[in-house]
Amino acid sequence: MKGVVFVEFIEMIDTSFSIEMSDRLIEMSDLPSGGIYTSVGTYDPKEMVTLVGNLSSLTQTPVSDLLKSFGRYLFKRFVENFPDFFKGITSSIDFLSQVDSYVHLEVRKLYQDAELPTFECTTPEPDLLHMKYESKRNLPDLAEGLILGCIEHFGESLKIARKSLPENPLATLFIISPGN
Amino acid sequence: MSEELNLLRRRFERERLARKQAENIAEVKSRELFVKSQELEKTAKAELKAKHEIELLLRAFEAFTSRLNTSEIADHLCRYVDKAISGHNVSVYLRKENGFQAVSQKNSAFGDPLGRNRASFSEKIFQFTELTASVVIENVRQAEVHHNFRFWDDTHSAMIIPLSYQRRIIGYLTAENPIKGTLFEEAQVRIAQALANEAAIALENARLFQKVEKLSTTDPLTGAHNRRYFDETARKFFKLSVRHNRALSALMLDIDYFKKVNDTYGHDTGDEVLKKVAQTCRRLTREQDLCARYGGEEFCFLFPETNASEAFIIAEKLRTAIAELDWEANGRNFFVTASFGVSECVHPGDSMESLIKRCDEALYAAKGKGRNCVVTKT
Repeated sequence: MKGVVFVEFIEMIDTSFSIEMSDRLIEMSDLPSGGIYTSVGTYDPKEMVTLVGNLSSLTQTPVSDLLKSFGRYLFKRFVENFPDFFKGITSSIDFLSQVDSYVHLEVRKLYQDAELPTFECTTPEPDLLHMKYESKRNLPDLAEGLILGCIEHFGESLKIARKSLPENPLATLFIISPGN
Repeated sequence: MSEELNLLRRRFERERLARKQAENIAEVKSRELFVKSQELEKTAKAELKAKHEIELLLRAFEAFTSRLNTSEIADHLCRYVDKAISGHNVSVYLRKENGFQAVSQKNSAFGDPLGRNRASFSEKIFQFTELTASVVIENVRQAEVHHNFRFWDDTHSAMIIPLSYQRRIIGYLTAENPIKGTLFEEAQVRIAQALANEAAIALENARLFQKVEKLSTTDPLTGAHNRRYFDETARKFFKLSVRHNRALSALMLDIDYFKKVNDTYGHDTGDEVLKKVAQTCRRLTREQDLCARYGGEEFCFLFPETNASEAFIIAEKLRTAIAELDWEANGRNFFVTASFGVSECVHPGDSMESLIKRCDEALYAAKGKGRNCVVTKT
């Protein structure tokens, strides 16, 4: 997993909780990396699982909620760091539809070995977006948080429904439609 | 307080180590990038070289195929091979009846080019050992087999490429390298070979074209030009004479009693007479004069820059020379004579047809006067 995700995760804990919390989390997690992360490095994704699990125990918050919050936080940071991706885009559906074809393509140029999730998008009806998320990491909560962050960024009122796909346990279908 | 200090220390240490890690990663990445950029540069250079090669080949192929003259094609082959492998002495030899002749040379590596004895070199006919595949000779001083090729004094290594068309060797391309220890690279041989292959096709086409052109303008028995060539060329001579207001004379020669020669001594002897008369005509006329077998035993001439009295002198020379020829057939000696008619172009208002008609009339008059004489009709 790319170091930038770890760096942002620790920063989120610093901001949302406290630096004491991130310190305690790192100390108690006894990670192979020692919790020393740089955004240009690559680390074992298991460390993220440990970190999220331990944060859940420390804060008495369910893992799914933590991942969703992290997704929303990550999206905000994404907007701050890469404003170019948002030029000429006016809605979350526009943006989400081109994550695979544009954003991930750009990521791939920088990190050839990145194991990126895929977001297969279809619009069965206007204003209705089906997004099939599939990832080796299988983190649909994080994906939902990212989608939520996106909707918040565009200030839209859209609702997200989630459907697991029995034929593919590593995939989740997100149905994004108007209304709350 | 001390707990807070410890926390900050740990945090600071983690950040310091993370920075160190980032620096290491950056160093590794920059090394990787450097290697990649070098690879890219190498690829780009190779691609550029390949592009230049293709451009050169295309230009060369165009130059070869747009020409129908063997020496022009050979010159282009020399020039393009020299360009492609730069800095070598390049020669092209073409097959002649009795060996190979150097028809073109290009020298850029040797101080004083072959100018010193180029003329004698190009006149010489070489007897090369027939080679069917390209050969690179590392050291021409030590090589036992030179395939009878002659190399220049400064030459160290050389390559010989056969020019072949449908497995027939039509010539050779040679490139010579004066610098000791430098061999021709594989790529140089390859491009020279590609140029040679294409040039060989063009050379063969040009040779055939020249052959057909010669056949269509030459009388096969006497080797003189035929009537078709005479008519085409006479028109050009006439136009030039009118434009520049220069003298132009016509001469017609008809062998006297030729039918009798054929009947008495046979057609073989008749053919011999025609051949010998044609030879005499060639010998006694100038290079710029036009001479052709006009009919059975009739030859026609055009003399540029020549008036009727000058043409008369030439005709007299021809008449005497023919009359003095000794003939023998079936054990008997005999003589052959010819009658001549001369006419001169009258400016302005004359025409080619009228010039020839007057010439013919003069010839008729010469026949009437008892033959073996020259009559002028202006």
